[in-house]
Amino acid sequence: MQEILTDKASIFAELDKLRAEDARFLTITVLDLGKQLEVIYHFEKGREVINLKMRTDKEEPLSSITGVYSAAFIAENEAQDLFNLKISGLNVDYGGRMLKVESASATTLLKPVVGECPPIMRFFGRCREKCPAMVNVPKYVRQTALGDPEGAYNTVIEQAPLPAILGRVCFAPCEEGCRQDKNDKPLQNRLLKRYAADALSSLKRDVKRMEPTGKKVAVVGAGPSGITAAFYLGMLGHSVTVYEKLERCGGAMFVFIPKYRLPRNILEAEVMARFEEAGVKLETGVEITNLDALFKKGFDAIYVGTGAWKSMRLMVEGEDSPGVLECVNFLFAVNVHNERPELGDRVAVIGGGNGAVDAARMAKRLGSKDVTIFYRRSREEMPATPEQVEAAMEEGVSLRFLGSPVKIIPSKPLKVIFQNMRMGEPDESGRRRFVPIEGSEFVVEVDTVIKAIGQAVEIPKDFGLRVDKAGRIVVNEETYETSVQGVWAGGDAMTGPTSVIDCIKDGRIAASYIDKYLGGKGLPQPSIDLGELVCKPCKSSEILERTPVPTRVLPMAERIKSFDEVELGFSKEEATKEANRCWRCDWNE
Amino acid sequence: MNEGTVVNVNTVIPFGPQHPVLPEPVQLRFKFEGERIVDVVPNIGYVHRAVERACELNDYKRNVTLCERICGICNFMHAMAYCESIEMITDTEVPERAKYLRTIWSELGRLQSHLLWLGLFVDSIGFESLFMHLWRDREIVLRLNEKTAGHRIQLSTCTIGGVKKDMDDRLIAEYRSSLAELKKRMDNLAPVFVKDRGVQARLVGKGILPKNKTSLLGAVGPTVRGSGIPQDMRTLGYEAYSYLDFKPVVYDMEDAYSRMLVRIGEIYQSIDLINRALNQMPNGPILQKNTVFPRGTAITRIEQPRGELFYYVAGNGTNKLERCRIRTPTLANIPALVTMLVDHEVADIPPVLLSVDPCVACTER
Repeated sequence: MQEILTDKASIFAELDKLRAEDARFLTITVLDLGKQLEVIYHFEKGREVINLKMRTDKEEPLSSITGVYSAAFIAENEAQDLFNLKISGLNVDYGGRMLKVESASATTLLKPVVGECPPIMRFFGRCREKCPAMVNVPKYVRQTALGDPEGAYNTVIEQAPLPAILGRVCFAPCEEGCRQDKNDKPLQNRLLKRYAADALSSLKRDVKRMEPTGKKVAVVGAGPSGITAAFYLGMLGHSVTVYEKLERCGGAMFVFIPKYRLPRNILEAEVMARFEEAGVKLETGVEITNLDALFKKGFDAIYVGTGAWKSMRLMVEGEDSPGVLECVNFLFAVNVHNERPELGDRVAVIGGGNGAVDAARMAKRLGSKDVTIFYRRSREEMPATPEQVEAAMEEGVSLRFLGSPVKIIPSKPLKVIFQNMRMGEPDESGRRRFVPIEGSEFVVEVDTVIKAIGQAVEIPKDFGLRVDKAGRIVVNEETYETSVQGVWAGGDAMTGPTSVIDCIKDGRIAASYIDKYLGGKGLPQPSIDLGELVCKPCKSSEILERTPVPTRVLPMAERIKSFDEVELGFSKEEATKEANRCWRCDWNE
Repeated sequence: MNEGTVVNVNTVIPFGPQHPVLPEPVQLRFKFEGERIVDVVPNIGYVHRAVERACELNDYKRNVTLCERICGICNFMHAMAYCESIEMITDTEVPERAKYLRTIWSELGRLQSHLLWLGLFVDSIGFESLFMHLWRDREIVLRLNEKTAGHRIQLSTCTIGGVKKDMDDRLIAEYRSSLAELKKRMDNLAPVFVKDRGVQARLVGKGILPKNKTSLLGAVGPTVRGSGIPQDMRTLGYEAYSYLDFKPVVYDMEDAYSRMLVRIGEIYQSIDLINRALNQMPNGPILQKNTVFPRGTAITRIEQPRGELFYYVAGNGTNKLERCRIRTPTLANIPALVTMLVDHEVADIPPVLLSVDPCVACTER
């Protein structure tokens, strides 16, 4: 092996010499030396390899050798692609796109600058991909680990404006995406969000709105999607008014979510903090029945986030008997009117969603001794989150699967006739069919039946919006604009009952398109910022030793007596420890 | 149009990346003047796999497995070239028996690659029955592979410092008898290629690669040996080739027919080399464990079925490499291929293209 050191001035003289000696071109190797690149041209003369070595600055263009050795064009184009090298005078120039796969630009062979370690590739991370609202989970986890709860709080607000609430009630799809789920326990992102909010002295931040645009937007319904749309539109400089039918804001969060999961003072404080930051006017106790009236008041655009409030019916005989309650009405009475209805000792809850579990846990707190949830399918099919079901079971709620009511006999106590079911083959949607077993009826005597089999959407006819068969508002799937110009819709009113985070996603998307409609640029798309938070990669040995931090909860005896918050959240040490468990899947060295 | 006027119409025909003749992701954009090809622009990079990058991120020992998977046909030689580079910079002495075993497996790889290629080549000129015969005979080699390593293609027997598997006398005897059978079958088939007038009509004078232009175009392997240049990396004497009295097969007609003759000659040569190696192979250990991390640079060149394979490996004394540059033979043959195709007609594209034995999987490291 023979090595010849050259530079840009003398390389062509060397090349001509090699050409005259009939040397064969082999290939070009480029090495990253930090500030400079080393370019090695390999030739073969006789049996020997000859290396022409040359150094060049990263930014400086290089002249092509294809004038002498035309075969070099492939190697030179490859160097252009992989090292961002500029080569001038190529006989065939693919312009940095010889490698056509989309990920080719990510496979650069350039090395990171010594001293700090910015990632060359950054992914969204599985947690972030799972989140409907695309909250930057990896970033706020890292900020928590670095002891910056305020930064973490702001990071969440970039995509979802209610971190303190989400930290308590979110179903945390991000935790399902966490790779540590298979190993031990997923990173408890939800509690980290809650810690970030709890660590702040005041939920109201010191932020500036954009210059007022002079446009007026009305938001109908102060639920999660309405609050989100109002907040982002307010921050973008529009003057926003929120109309709410009830006396307090929060929508479904206020009515359905029990106080032991979401204390009302936190709900109120966070929503009001967002409204104050964005200069949103809130008018409670105002029911909107007609959208034209709003347009006449001078609003340029309207967002409808009225939610899903109509109880579904069981369709069995005797379901309107006294003593049979609807879940919506029951939770409404307890949460909104602060009533404590007499339920009696034995309560049967029919349904398998989070509403059913909430109603059962609520009944337990109201003094009922024997509370049973009846669900017609099995535990696996239950739509309620497993943690909620487990917490309910700990509190003494029993579960009875594969039982469907066929008749309710109005008497005192109520007699409910159930029929046993068995699981059949899966249907088109993938959920297994349930088939009744003939002659397997059994009777349950209870004092109260709570029907919690879900809600449907009901939109006032005067809104004039197009709705589908199930009563949901029909919107443009991309922009969330309805059939009426200037009216957007989202949240449960559009999708049917979902979760808080799904509604927040709808609100944010609609806000972005409303802003574009009003002449703005819209909200920024969720992106991967390469420069954000430079930090050292962690060693795998360190991470593997870390164990999940257990969640502290209220003792059982205290729990069922009161409506106090059950989960206690993280302390600073616990939160830092938990956040440090992150494997940084979004981060590639 | 007046009678007698010749109108030159420039037509561009894209060939690939999806094409029945060449089921590999490469595109050639042909520019035609009438029926005649005047220009060819090759387009590669459809399935770039960033192996060079992955080689820097992996532990250097795990790269053996990765490099072996660069190509589906000549996999063993990729692993061998990588191992040789690491052995060179870590001063690991490979035991003699391991050198012979590596040589035997390399030649087996060449055998099955050439048989596969011959089958595809005659298929491209419409000789389908011959294709079937050749691929049936290739099974002999694949079954030997399976008996040796438990796998028909990916042997995974090469490792840094030697090989992982040994052969016993029974297996050696089986090698001898199987190769004798293969030779007998080739004796039946080879005259068809060499003497058949139909084959000659399609190949003689097609895809000319002039002898004096080969070094300028950087062409390698059977492609240049068909132009009368005895360029063969095996003459460098790596592994056991120095003990086997190796002489390259060379024909000098400079066309596709000549390149085919080179490969047929090499099939016989490989059978000979394996037999000789089996006779000479000494007893002894097969693995010398390597205990130091690679530091320094090494260039390894070995002869693959398609030509010279080039590895440049730079280590910095840690378990990860600084750089691993891989240049596969097909990448080196693309400029030559472009020159060969010019001045031909559409019907000649498949045989000329296949006469360099393009392996795009290798090229897209």
